Amino acid sequence: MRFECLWWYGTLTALGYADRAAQRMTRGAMAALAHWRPVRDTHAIQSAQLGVQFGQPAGDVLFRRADAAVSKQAHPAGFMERQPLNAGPFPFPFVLPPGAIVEQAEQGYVYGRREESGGIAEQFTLARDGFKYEQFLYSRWAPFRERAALLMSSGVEQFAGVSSLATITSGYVDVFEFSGSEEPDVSEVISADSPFVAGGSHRSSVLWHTYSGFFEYPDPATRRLIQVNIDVLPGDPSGKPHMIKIVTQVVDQFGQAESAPLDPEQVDWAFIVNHADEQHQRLKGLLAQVLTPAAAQAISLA
Amino acid sequence: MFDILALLAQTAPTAAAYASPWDSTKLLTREQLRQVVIEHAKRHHQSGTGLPIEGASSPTFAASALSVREAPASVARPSDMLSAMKRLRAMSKYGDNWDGEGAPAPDAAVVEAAITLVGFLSPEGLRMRASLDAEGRPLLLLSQGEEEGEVVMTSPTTFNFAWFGGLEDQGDIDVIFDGNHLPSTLRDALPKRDLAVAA
Repeated sequence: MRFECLWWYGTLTALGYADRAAQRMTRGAMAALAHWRPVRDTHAIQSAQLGVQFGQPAGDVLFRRADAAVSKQAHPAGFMERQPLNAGPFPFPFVLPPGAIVEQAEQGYVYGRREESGGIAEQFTLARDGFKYEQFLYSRWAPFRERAALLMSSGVEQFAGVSSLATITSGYVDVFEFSGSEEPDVSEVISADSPFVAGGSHRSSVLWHTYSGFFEYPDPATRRLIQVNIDVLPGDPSGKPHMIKIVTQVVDQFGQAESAPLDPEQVDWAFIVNHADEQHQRLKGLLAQVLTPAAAQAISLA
Repeated sequence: MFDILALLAQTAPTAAAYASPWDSTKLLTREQLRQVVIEHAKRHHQSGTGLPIEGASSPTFAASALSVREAPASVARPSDMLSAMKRLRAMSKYGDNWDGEGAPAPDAAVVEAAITLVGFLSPEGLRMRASLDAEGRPLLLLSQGEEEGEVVMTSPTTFNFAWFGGLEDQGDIDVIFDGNHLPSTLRDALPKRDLAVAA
């Protein structure tokens, strides 16, 4: 028995741990992009979001119940910061008598998880008419989806029981920063053949934008709004670099006049996730239609 | 490393209990013996002496790794998650003998799975650093306060992990990872957050 123990011990010590990776650089590898850098190095996603909106605002009871459900999940998940959602302008449909005070009902809350580095990594919004989850340190779709489920699933299903589903929205903001000293050339990142670039606009590296939008109908109950907005933003003397910002958004709309009615019984978190998964794939396809092959390779866009 | 242990466990003679290699009056189960041997192996690696160390302090990992406790709390630092992803992506391009001592090239699919796992671990509030072990497998070094642990990605769908410093040391081998969820066996081993609410 002692021999066996020593046998294990000897094998373990022979293996050891070697953190040699920190000392080595890949030899012979060429950068996919020469002068532009994805804002997060391994990818360009500055922010990612998933939103679910309902047709009618929640009453106080439902809202507070949803807030309790969110708080129960958000706190252990690291969302230590919470502040009221901006109420916006007060409506004045009538003249108030002197001295009257109108208190507007709380419109919602914004929860935030702050990293040790100081920045907000995740943000979750609970509003009277829906939910929105945003990540500012995005990694992969699966972890994003799991976090969204943790925060939203319970509240969404509570709202779905009393209100009609209006929209499911997914979107990304991708940013590339210029890192060269010469005049930036956006054609390194933005494909000259992209169907989302207005003809001739990208030839100039000076400030320009091109915005596109159209509808698709993936199923009888869904009208899908596709939006692709590309901004080329100049740098400034303070050191802010030239930037290419690509906003891609997919909004699945329900209850539209031209759409089949949505059975409220089928609206649960699995329904939301199915649409979100489809939207994610669609968004990847849209971005691939904007970028050059080199830019797509730089962010491992399959 | 942990799969080597599993292999050895399969080939080793069976017994109801084993004598501890450092205290023959003490009997250990197979699982306890594995944990004891791992801990002493890590202490050995730190000391470089090749001999078991009596009374050594809790092991830290990879002598060349940056100590995650050294950075002042007031200094802003880049996201550990993004840094780990960047390192793993860069290391996925290494070839055979990347360390000069015959280590095999990392498997790209295994590295991608490790990157996905990094994404799941990021919100857990851990300090994180990515490296490769001597087998060319992605190695995630994790810590929070006085607790620390590691995850070794052994295939695109499995990993081994160990966590030290809590109420009891924890670990498991061949944990199934489908890429869609953080396995509960790892999540449960990680320290829970301090739930003091920010003002």
